[in-house]
Amino acid sequence: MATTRTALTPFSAEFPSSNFPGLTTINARPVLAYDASTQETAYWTLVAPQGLTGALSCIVTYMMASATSGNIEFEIAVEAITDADATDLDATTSFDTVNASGATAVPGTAGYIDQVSVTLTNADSISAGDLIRISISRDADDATNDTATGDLYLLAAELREA
Amino acid sequence: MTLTTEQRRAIFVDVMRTTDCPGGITKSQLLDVVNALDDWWEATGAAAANAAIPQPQRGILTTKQKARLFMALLSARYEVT
Repeated sequence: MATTRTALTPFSAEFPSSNFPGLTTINARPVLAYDASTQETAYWTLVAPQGLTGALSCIVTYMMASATSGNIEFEIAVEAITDADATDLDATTSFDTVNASGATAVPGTAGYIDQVSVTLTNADSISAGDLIRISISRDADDATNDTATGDLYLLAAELREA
Repeated sequence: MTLTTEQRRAIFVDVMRTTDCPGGITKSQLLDVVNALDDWWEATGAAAANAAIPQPQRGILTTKQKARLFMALLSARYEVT
């Protein structure tokens, strides 16, 4: 049975120094607004929950601001740091290779939600108790897989164990 | 002279950040529209708009002043800013 390990919301997101999605509200709903032309990224930091043993996936819930055709693509990366790892957090990041959703058709009506499941094949050997970061990007500069116009609004994401 | 590739792309990017961004076409199709409109303006539109202005105003107004009037007219007609 699938298990929800954590939920990621716009208000709990963290942002790099540049190229990050705007935190705003749409109809009083908090969203992260991902640009259509610049690849933008947001992070979430948490501790990997106890009991975590299986394969992980990340289910992203989003809607489009205006697009009713075309595709979008998410790129999701995991950084897992175990106690006593030789990772200098002051100066480095150590995200594993990104996991891409592939081209995903947007809903035919702007404002309708879609949920995209991305299998986290590259999960940086995550284990319970690790300090982890989840990175979610819209692959806006991929002219093949991300063709939809306008902003993408990320509403939430779920870290799910299969 | 038409806009540069970078200038056209900047328009394309800006349009996608507006609330009335066209949603029924893809990004490449939207960029094609920008390219086609700029090509048309260069080949036909600018001369036609200029010719529509009566004399002596046509000879008195600068290109920039004519462009501002044209923008104001389009903005009012189609309620875009």
